[in-house]
Amino acid sequence: MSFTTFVYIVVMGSVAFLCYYALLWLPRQIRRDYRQGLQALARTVEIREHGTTGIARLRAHYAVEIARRMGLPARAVQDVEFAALLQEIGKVSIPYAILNKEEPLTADEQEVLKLHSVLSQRMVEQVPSLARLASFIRHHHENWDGSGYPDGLQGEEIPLASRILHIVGDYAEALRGKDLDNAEIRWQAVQQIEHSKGIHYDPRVFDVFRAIVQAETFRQTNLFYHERCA
Amino acid sequence: MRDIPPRWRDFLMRYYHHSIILIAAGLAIGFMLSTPPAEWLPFGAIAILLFAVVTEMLPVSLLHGGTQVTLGFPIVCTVIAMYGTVPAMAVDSLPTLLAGVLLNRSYPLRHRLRWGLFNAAQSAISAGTAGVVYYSLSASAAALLTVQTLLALTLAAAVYLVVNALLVSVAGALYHREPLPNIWQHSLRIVMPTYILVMPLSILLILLLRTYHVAGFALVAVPFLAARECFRQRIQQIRNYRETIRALGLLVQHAHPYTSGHLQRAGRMAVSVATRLGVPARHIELLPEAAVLHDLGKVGVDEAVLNKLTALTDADWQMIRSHPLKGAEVIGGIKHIEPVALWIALHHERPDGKGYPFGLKLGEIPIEAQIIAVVDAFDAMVGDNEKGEQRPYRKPKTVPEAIAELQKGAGTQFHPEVVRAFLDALAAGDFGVEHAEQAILVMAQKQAVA
Repeated sequence: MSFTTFVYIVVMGSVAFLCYYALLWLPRQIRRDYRQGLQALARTVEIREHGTTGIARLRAHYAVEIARRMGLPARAVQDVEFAALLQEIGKVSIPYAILNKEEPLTADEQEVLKLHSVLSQRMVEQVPSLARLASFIRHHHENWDGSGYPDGLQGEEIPLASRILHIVGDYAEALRGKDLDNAEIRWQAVQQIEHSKGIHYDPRVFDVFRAIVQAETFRQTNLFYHERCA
Repeated sequence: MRDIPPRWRDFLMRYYHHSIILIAAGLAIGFMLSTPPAEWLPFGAIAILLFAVVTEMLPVSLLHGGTQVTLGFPIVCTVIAMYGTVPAMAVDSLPTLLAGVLLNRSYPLRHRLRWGLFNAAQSAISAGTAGVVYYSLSASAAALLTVQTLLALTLAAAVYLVVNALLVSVAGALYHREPLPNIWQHSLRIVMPTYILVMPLSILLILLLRTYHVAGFALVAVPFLAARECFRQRIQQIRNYRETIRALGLLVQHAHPYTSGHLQRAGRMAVSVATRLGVPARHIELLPEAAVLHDLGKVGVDEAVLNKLTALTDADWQMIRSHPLKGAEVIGGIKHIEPVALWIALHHERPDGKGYPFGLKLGEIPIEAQIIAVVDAFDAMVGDNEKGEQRPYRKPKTVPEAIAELQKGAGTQFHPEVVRAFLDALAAGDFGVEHAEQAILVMAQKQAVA
């Protein structure tokens, strides 16, 4: 092999490497960093509200699974994931005393707590690269029968992403302060919120969600959640 | 590498700019006279010149402090090997001049001409030196691919980058008052790797030019533009990521109204103090981030405790003392700013060991954490004059009072070196003229008393 051929091969190799690096590896890396950054910032709510450590990631995990199962395109799956991470972020503006009250909340306090979906929406709106998630987050407490807040939307009027967020949000709330790694407890929490299917939650989305948790429980893959989030 | 001695500084300030341009002109004329015109005016070089103009007009901003890079460098290397030194000088300097004058229209024309000329001259000198190195190592201009020519090319490229970095950092140190070692490090660490990454393109260009002559450009233009686009997108994405994190970090803290405008100011102050203390450039870069996020942990503290006007109980103190670690816990998960988590965890430590959460002593606390502590303390004392930023548990102080407080705390509450650097920065007007006047007044009074 002549020296010139050798140089040709080396040059072509390095050009190919450059292409791989710039077109495939880097974008993936940047996406991963982005996700990690949002996960970290979603934790600010968890240091404020007792017993919620790891809750944001749990929400994101199930939101992604549901969105995938329902056949949403990759871009939409990612939107749902980020929205699930940030849906409670507005709670940093809710008084500490209300967030961490041991006794049941009074009617007034409940009204204050309900502001969080609008507060989250306002915060997310102000970040240009996340603004598209704002409406999903605003409606993440709208009920299927129209009894939710803030706008009282009903059925299909509610964006699909918000219907997913509603289920994973309530589910995460039911798991608050519990052992998230225990598949048994995770399954019990599903049964705990199941009575609201068709009243609060879109029944079709709920069935998908139920199947996902069920599969996880019966496969006994307690490590599954860890693997995805590690 | 040490800083420029002050007695040379004035002299250099006056003549550096012009002398660089004169040297470049002399170099160009010398080379032209020593070689027959037929050699420095080949047709191919003119085509390359056009191509170089196009690439130079499409610069990419790097993340770090507005530095712009172009893909002109591999072209210059190619021209050195294929056509000789004079064409390389022309190919490097003319497009630089054009781009300097035509781009950045927001600056006045005189300014653009002045710096365009300077940049063109320094590129010509770099290219000229690289050319000399290349031809002293490898005799032929026809660039046959041998081990010798490849080695010569690599060495010439290295010489080019070193000369270029040297000329630019001296100019930066003279005219922007940045410390010389910092700029030098910056260009070594950030600009050079980027250029080394595009070196294969230069060899590719040589190969194509040898086989297809000027038509080789048509083949190379597409990969060149694609590479540029990748560059631009990558940088855009990283910037987007940083902005998102920063904005969200700020928004999350806006829950506590008195800590908002204060954070942005604190970031600027921290950078100028760190620069004076010679903190490594890669840490200075992260300081604004650290300053913006340093009190994030307060989100986890009951605002009723933070705003309490009565005496705090033990439980209250415990809660307040948990905030640096809570903040570090959140920030530790954000990619690319990992060192920041440590500084934030330690920004309430004191040199005398009475700080929290660990009670570390002088030598054990990172200097960056101390910078944040000083800047935060000063701005919290003074910056409160603005509407809505007042902390309920204390009254705002005037600048002289705040300076006295810092000096009193030097050695116990604050790192003495950091306090000194901070006061220097204050007196030099880094934080606004108003503050500087008051600071100078206070220091003058101190000296008069002593």
